Amino acid sequence: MDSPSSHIGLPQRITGYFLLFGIAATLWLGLGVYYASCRISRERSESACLRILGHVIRSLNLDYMQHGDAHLQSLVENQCRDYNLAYLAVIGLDGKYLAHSASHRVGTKATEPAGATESWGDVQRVRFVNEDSAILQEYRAPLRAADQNFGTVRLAIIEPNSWHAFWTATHYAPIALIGPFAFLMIGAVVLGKLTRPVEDIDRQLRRVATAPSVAGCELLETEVHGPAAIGWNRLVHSWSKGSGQKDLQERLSESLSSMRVKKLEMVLDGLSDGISTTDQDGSILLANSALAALIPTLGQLANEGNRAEPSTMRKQNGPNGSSKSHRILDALKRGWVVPDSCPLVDPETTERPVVVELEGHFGEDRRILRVTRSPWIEPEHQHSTGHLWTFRDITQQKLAEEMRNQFVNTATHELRTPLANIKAYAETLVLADVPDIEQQKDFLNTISAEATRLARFVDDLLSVSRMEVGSLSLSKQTTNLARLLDEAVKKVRPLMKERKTSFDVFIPEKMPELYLDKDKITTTLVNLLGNAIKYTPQGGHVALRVKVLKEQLEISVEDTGIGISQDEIKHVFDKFFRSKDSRVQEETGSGLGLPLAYEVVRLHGGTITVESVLDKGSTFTVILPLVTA
Amino acid sequence: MENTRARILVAEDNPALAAVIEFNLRRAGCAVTRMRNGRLALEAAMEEDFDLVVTDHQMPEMTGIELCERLRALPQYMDTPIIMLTAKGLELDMSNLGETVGVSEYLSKPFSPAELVRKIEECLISSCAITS
Repeated sequence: MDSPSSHIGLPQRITGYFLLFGIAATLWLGLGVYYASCRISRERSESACLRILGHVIRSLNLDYMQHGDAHLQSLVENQCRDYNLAYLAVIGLDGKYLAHSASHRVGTKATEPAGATESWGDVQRVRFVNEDSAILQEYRAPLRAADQNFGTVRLAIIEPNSWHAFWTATHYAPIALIGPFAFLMIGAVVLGKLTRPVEDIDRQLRRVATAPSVAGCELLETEVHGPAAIGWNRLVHSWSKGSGQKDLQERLSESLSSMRVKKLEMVLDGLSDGISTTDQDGSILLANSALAALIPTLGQLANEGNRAEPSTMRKQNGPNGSSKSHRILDALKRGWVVPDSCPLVDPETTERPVVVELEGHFGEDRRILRVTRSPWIEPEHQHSTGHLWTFRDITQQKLAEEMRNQFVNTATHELRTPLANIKAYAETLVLADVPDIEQQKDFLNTISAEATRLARFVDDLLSVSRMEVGSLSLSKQTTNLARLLDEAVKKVRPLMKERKTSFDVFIPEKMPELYLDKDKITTTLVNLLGNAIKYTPQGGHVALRVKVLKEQLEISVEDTGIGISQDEIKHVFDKFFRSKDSRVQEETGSGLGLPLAYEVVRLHGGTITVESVLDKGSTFTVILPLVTA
Repeated sequence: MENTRARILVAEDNPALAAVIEFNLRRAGCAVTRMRNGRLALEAAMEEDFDLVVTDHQMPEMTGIELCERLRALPQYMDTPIIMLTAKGLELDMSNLGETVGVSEYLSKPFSPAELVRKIEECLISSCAITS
């Protein structure tokens, strides 16, 4: 803007050049016309002279024939005057003037001017310069009367002088040039009007061109009218986007950040974790919808104090409008147990991250919430201006952890108990003197049984770990169902006898052959039957019923045992689950049998279901599709 | 010990293990009463005075820990040696058990029966020394 070249705007320059070239063209045209008219007028004067010469000769000849040289002088004077000649003279054969428009020359010897001579037939023309420095053209022709030459006629005109012609032309120049100039001026005005919007836009663009960065330039709307101006204004308007004059970078980042904010809102509301930011007083500045679900009392609190609903992400105007009762902790305390020893309550911990697990009771449910609070440090501040909170319902995770811990306890017990027996019996056999052969056998049998128990438990563990990674595979073969059932029954019969449990088996006579994993299905049935025996007090009944339906095989194991409570029945197929019932705790078990059975049946495309009444008994029903190889 | 047979109460839910413990203790010349859970053991302990109690840690109905606490609450069992057998070697802080519930000795499973007998003898000798 400060450079001198930019002082003259584009429209001025356009108009200037328009005028310059326009005037040049007009002048060139004028000169051309002048030169052409000069040439034309000279040629005209030549032919006019010859024509006059013809007239003069004819009239002189005629007059001389009728009257001799009596009227010659007056005729010459009249003719000279009539045709506006420089002079007109008749020279006799003696070389003296018979007549001359300047009468004092009559009778004097004719002068012979020196100059260029041209001749057409007997007509001669001499161009010469007279004493007044004027160029004269003298035309000479012989005069005849009755075929007798009686003299020569000389007539002269003053050849139009170039300067004279120019000066004459200048008289007409104003009139001749005023038109073109007027049109040029009108054109310039129109051009100036047309290019006025360009002036402003051009100036702004020049500024952009010379500025160190585009970001620092502000673009203004132009005040002039016209389509270009409207277009420019719309452009500027769309760049400013209603927020006045902002630099490009700011506008870009703003539009980007507004997009980012929208996306972040969606992300925040899509999270299953509750997220919130609060100020130092614990007033909520921002919350996502998951938070409202985790802390239902937050909504109540918010409503009581006309606060923003936490279900929608909302920015508060500031901490000024908040009252003390809206602390996030108050909301937490309304459903969750926040002990006084909790680090969230301790004012010393506000500047460092805190993770706590809170317990809450909602109706029948016991839930666990993991709360993480970290100081919220904004870039422009050195210290925290509030807190970022995350809330996660870890009830399921805790349950899984508890179950796993329970399993570790169970597993340790399950592994150590047979090991302890094996070691105790083996050492007793080695160190103590056991003379009785039967007792020795008895001891060795116990060792063998314990080793079997250990091996089975290790097998179960392996199956469960495979089941967890989904790699428990079946090796199916065409199996005689009757033989399979027989095998399973044989395995559990000794136990039935030992526990004095009556055992009824209902198997149809005709049984199909099925394509299945024989070992795993046998194990599953033994497992179900084993459970039925384990959890049925002495003197109870266990029944195995097999039905062949149209497309399904139904195997059910009924017992009159201790049953399963309604609370626990939904968990019986969960891994590591063991009932809290002391009658179950009394028995050894890993909590793996039923989940394994469930998985095996599922892999066969079947289902396993349980019906049970506490203290009355349970029925486990396995349904397998009738699949033949 | 030769003159008067030491009376020992064994509380163990695993019958096989209880049997082998009983076998070894009888071999060592003790009178053994076997109970399969803590509640039954406590009832037996109240009916009869025992010189020493061997208890499993994990038992149905009443655990070994609870049995210890109940026994220590009884005047006749204030100083009676109690040996605890446990399958939870590392999970429990064994050094604490002596102070909190009054367990005299503990053995973690799997254990050697000879070791158990040796510990029982040590405990009986030291308790005799205290009572005399």
